[in-house]
Amino acid sequence: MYYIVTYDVATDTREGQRRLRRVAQACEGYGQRVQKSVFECVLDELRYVELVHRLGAIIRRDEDSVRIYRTQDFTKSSLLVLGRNLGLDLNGPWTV
Amino acid sequence: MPPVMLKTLFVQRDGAVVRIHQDTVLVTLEGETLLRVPLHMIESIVGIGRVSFTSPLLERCAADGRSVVRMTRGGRFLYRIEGRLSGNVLLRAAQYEAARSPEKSLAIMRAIVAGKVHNQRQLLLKASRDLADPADRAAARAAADDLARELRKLPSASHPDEVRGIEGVTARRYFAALRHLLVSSVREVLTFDGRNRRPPRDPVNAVLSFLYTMLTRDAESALLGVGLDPQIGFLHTLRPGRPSLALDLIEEMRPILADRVMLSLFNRRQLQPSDFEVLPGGAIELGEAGRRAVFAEWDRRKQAEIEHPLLKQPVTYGRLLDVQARMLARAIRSQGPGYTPFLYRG
Repeated sequence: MYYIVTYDVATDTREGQRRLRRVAQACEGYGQRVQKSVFECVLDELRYVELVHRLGAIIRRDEDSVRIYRTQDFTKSSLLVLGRNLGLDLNGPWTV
Repeated sequence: MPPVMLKTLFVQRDGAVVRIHQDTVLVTLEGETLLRVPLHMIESIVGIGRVSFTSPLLERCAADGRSVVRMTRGGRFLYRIEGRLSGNVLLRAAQYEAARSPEKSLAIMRAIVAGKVHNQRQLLLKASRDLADPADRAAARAAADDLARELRKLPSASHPDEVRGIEGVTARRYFAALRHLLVSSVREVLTFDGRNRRPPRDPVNAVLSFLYTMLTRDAESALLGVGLDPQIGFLHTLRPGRPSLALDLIEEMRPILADRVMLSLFNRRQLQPSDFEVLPGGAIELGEAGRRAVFAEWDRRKQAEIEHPLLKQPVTYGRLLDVQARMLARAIRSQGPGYTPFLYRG
């Protein structure tokens, strides 16, 4: 399944900045960063639960927020990009 | 919920370093990040040319059972890293026994060659329908008829060398006809006239060699995955370091995976003569842009679906080797029916 993960972490304290880094790092293991705090992920049931659990353990629930949306796919027909496209086509060949 | 389609990551930029950072795979070049992808989406990593892997990445991949492979720029295999040998030692014992049993070997060899020749025929017949020139159509059909004649000799072949002889005759006949499936304007600029290798001396053979190496690599992974020994083959004789069983397994896949991809690449003009470099000594090698085109088409083919005649359900071409490796394991283990190759219906 395709998910979009967005988050908002209060970074006015040093501890908040650390949480932000840890949230970003956790997300990187599950999908690709397409904006500063937006990730596109392709996950099976198990990975999804794992990610939710991990993020829940990192954030401060009274200050931060994470929103995860389930979507059809990330193909050109369901996504419009204006400006810089940072995403890698998850269905195309992965070649560098 | 369908499982996530795992990908192969191809890294071919000279000097690129592939490393692991938490659960993310990073590809960097001179300190600049080229790519960042989650490890869990990767099935295998292939490095081509001057590419290095860090130890932590290799250890992590080995532990997870994701294979890491290095190839030269010409597509020659250098090494692979696999985790601890999995699978069933009893199956491997049965495999050694089967390889020693003349009846069992012969049955498996026949099935492999039958599958290969059948698929070569289907490719010729199917592709001939799209040909503009009646002379080319006739040439492809004539070759298909010759292959059918050889195919009928197979059941009565009672000695391994007879089976290998039929395989040799059909291979030559098939490659001689393959040029007719290339669009005539493409054929004019390519000097393709049958198979040559070690080294390949024309663009078509360079692409075929490259694709066959990748196919062999996939076959080794598939065999290790079901617990078979890739080096103990039936049709291919045993030689130190030769993945004989992997070579056996790819025989039926060559026409429908590699040869088909090669034809698409040239006929759709995705490869030009300028995509190739001539090395001293006359060998021909794909350049970087050309390799990129090959990976893209290879990937597309592997994601295409086809109905498996035995399983009666759709499988992707990329999964066919895994399915057939299981069939091979079953044939080796059981007393009953032999190996059932994948028969392509054009």
